[in-house]
Amino acid sequence: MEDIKLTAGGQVKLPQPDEISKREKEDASGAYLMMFAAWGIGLPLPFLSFIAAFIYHMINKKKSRFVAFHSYQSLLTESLVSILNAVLIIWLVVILFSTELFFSNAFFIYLFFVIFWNLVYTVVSLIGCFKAKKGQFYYFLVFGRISFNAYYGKRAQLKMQRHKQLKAENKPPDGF
Amino acid sequence: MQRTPLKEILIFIIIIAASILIALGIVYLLPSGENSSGQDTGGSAIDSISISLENNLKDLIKEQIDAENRYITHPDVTKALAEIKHRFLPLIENNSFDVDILVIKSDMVNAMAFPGGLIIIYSGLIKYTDNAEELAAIIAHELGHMVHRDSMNLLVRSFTISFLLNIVSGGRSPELANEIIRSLINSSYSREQEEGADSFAFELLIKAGINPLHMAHMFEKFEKIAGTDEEIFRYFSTHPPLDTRRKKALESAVEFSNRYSEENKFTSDWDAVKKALPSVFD
Repeated sequence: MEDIKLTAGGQVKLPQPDEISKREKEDASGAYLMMFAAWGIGLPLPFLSFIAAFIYHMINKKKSRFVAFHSYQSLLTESLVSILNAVLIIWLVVILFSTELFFSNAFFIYLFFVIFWNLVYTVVSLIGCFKAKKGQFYYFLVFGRISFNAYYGKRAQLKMQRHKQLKAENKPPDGF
Repeated sequence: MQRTPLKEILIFIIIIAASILIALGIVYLLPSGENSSGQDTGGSAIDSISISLENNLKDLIKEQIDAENRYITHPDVTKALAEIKHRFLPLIENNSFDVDILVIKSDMVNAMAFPGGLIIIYSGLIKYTDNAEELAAIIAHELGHMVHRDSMNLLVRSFTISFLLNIVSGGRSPELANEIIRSLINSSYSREQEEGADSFAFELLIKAGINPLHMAHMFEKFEKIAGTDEEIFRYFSTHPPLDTRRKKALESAVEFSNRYSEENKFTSDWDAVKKALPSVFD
């Protein structure tokens, strides 16, 4: 993974669209398409999309910080939506197999809540995919900041410096 | 506008709150589908499924049962049912359904409220009654399931989304109708639904001038013989326990006695009604 560049003032100097390779742009935009993984298999299982997003991130995170940022942002958002969807499906299964419960108003309220967030997630993911394809950074609410910190923030910079220090370097023996 | 971390979290929380409000709005403000008598269904959102959809299902089921030619149309039977129906229906507030009470030939001791106000009584059950008031008690209970739309709730739980889409898109086929009938017959109402139907029945009987004691009698009879043959006595194989229901019926009977000095009995000749019922082997 490339080093984090800093300006004279210590601010992170992000790569610009023309500095990002076509391959990186494609890999970054691909991260946002993992939500369709479950659809592709034809099963309404929320964890399938999460697993796809997780695997994608693990494979691509070392390619470049730009790709890692986008795939991590997608993974974080996918995690949240997968949890919401999983709760819905578990609730539905419990209702269907129970003789005591029925479709209460609470269930329908939660259902519409989950539908709303799935729609929001789909829209922002498509925007993120489009922006990544153009070599641009696109920050989701809350998760954008977390992903940025993970790959460009202070912690990432410290990690990079530590990595450099630990890197093996040929030196003469002491005293020479 | 510069987005600080705090502003982002605030915006996120506002969007979550907005989505909850939207969901609440959709569930509570959806038009067309109010409970047919405005009664509390215990929070079931089945009210959002329209009455007209339920009526469509009723037509489908009636057609299928009609095709099997099992209705009993003897004048003594139909007259007795009509008397019960005309006594009860004006007492049900805001009823959106066109109620049909039909008897079919079967030794099964069962009665079922299908969607759309269709109530099917099996001739086997009528044979266990001693008078019109006892049958009226059973019908009052089924009317309770009707106004609470319990059968729709069962259907929604029993079937896959694709089947429901089939119904919504107006699909009609004998296989669909048979599947609905089989599913409703084989499903059990929940304890809350049965208790709700019982409470409704007690109130309706009292309003109609019929003593809920007749309901207690029915529970007593079937408590004694339930379990001898599960298939025939299916009506009583559901929870809550029959003795609990019988006790509640007796409590309502006390309330009736406090309110009325005598019962407003039906005029049907019950022996004639029972004689008119064919054996399943006819």
